[in-house]
Amino acid sequence: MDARTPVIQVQDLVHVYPTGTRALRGVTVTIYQGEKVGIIGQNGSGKTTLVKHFNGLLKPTEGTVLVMGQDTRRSHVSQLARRVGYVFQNPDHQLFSNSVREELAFGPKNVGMSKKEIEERVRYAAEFMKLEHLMDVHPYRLSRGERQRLAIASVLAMNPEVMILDEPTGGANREQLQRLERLVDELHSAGKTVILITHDMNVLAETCERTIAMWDGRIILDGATRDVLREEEKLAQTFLTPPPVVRLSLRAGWPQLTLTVDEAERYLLERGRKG
Amino acid sequence: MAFIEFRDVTFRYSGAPEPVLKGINVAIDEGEFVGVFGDAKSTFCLCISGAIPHLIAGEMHGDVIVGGIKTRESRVSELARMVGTVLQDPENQLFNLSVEGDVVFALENLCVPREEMEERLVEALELVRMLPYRHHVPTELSGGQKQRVAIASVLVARPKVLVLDEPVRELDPLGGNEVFEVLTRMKEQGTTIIIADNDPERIAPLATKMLLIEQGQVQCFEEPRRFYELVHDNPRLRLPQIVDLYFRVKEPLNLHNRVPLTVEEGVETFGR
Amino acid sequence: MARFLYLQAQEKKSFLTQMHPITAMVLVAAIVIVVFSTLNLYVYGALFLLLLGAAYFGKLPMKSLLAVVLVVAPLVFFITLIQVLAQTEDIVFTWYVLGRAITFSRYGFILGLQVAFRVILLAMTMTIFFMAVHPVRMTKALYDAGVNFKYAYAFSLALRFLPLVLSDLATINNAQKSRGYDIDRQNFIIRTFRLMPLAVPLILSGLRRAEIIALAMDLRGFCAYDKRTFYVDVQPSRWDPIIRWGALALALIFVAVAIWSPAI
Repeated sequence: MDARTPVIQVQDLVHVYPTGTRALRGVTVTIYQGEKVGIIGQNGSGKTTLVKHFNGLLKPTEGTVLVMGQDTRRSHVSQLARRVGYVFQNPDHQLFSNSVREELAFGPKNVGMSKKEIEERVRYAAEFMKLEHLMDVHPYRLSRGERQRLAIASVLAMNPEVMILDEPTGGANREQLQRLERLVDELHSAGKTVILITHDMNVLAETCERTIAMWDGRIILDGATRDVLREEEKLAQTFLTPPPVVRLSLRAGWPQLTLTVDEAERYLLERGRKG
Repeated sequence: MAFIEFRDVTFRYSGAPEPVLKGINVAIDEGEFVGVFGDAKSTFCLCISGAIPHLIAGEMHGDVIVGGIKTRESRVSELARMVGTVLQDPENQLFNLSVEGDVVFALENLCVPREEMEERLVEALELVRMLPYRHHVPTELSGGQKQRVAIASVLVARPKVLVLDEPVRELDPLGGNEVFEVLTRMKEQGTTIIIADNDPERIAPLATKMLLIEQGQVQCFEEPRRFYELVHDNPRLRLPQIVDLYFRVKEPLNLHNRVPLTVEEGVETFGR
Repeated sequence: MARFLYLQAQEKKSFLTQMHPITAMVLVAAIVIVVFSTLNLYVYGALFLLLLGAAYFGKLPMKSLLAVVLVVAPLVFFITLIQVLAQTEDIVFTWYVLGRAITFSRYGFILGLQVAFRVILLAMTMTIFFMAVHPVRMTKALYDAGVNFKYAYAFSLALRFLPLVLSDLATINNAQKSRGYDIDRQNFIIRTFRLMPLAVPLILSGLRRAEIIALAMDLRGFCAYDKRTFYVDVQPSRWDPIIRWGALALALIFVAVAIWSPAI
């Protein structure tokens, strides 16, 4: 019996779009409180469709989706938004206010928080995402990286228990990637469940302890990231490649799979010390 | 005589307080495959096609010379015969109602006679392996397919240089693979390729030279292994994982091999 | 839907799809002139059969054509009903409801049918036109006729990008819904400022899209010269001037007859 609390329970989920496309062909998965889950797969594999069920943007054609016990069929997006925050890939699809402060207050206002709560939440989100010095700046004056942080902060301001980040790694340099990795850890420390949709296998390995791989509307792999990335052949069938440092450890026949550069470094130094 | 030359190029976007390029000097020979990294990489790429200074508002000093022609003194449409530019967004580079339509678009604009168009259309689509899709509507294509059509739409002008600004950023891994397959083929054919990106994993093994531009200056312009020897400490530069690993253990393990760029080279270097 | 129309038709070559676009435009004009110069149901009936025949022999997708007609059908019913109730000539019978008289006029019925039929004919004509004429051929024809390429190309660009703008709107709507904003649940007297979270990102993404498109087009030599060549071959044949002038002449003769003769 799993002692962990499930936050999202998906049972035999099928989703058919109005155009007739069968985007999900029977998906069953449970996500537990406090997990850091990565979802990978080619475009069209169903990952975005699946995740859109988590905050009620999409409702099941068949099967059920329970979000913290609530059946999404009986709830509305604006209700679920309070508990499941979804940060879209392009921050420019969300930002519209005259100042960072207003933008941050938008979500909390919509979900009906009191004035005092809104102030608190705005301050919290701004501090968390290091935007305090930009509170009165117009969002369009911000750099792309800052706008992305603002988009995340504005969802965080609603204090959801689950944070979904959709492809946050586009065009990021080394520093920005490290900041993202730290962010995922900080969200985790704050007690949140983090779901990361990404194409970047290197970032996935660094941040997510659990990985779900999808193809053609189905989950083909689901487990500890280490175990999923070991399945080179299965991943290759869906044109996915594990990070170089993982492949290195497998091909070189090292005693264990090294998930990150850190692990590989530690292994080599250990091995070196032993002569 | 280098095929592409930047002579003391400075450029400031209109309305920006500081120039993003401050006196850049770079010489690129024909047939090279150059990876461009750093904060002004897109600006660098736009200079080669003449988009800077002709299409983008700002102040440019210095000269960019491509195939003996100064971009400042030439029209973008003339330069398009020598330089094909592919942007990051696959969707907004296809504006016609069929793949064919997008590929012949440049030929029509450049007044190429109709009799020549079919041959060049087929040639370009073959290069990107999209010939079976010639009658398809753009909305029916995947991201990788769209980007390949975008590449074909500039290849059709038979340019000597192909410039790509973060071409795989919006694509899934399969799409990225498809694009790099095309680039590998173009490299074998001798096309000069300039590609700007943040992710070096696929670029480093193919590149003949890597260029890092930071704070408006050329910080490093060398062949990949030498490049990483010089800049692997840069906090903003993403390293291929194998390269990252190599420099972390090089000293403690006293390694003297050449810098490994691929997994295979990594296996050789680090051993079993 | 616009995409659907020309896409489905282009699979088959026929006299309609190969027709010179300007000729097609002239024919549409002629039909519109005839439709507006009379209310005679026999003329309308003949035109209806003519259009159906043209579509059939022109190998156009008949199902889609009839679908358009069906879409217009509720409007037809509504128009007819209003005329039946509103006209006071030639009342066939009268209902008394709550002391008020509701009259049903036969004159109104015929008038309603006439107006409704007119709407159907116009809808059919336009649908057939957009099915038969491929935008690329239209662009070339307009260019040949002296229209600046930039304007001739505008329709094609709109067809390509309008669906994308709409899908952007859907994404933006989803993104804002995920922040608790839900305009679908408001009453439908929506005040303007409530649309800002949708309008602002949409306009901005539209502008950004336009910027990239313009740059990409320029990088492919768009409007480099005053002239350009075309991959598609659209030439008027020797029949085209005959058909165009002939159609216009017939239409004008018809108008003359309609004005002078009480029967039409």
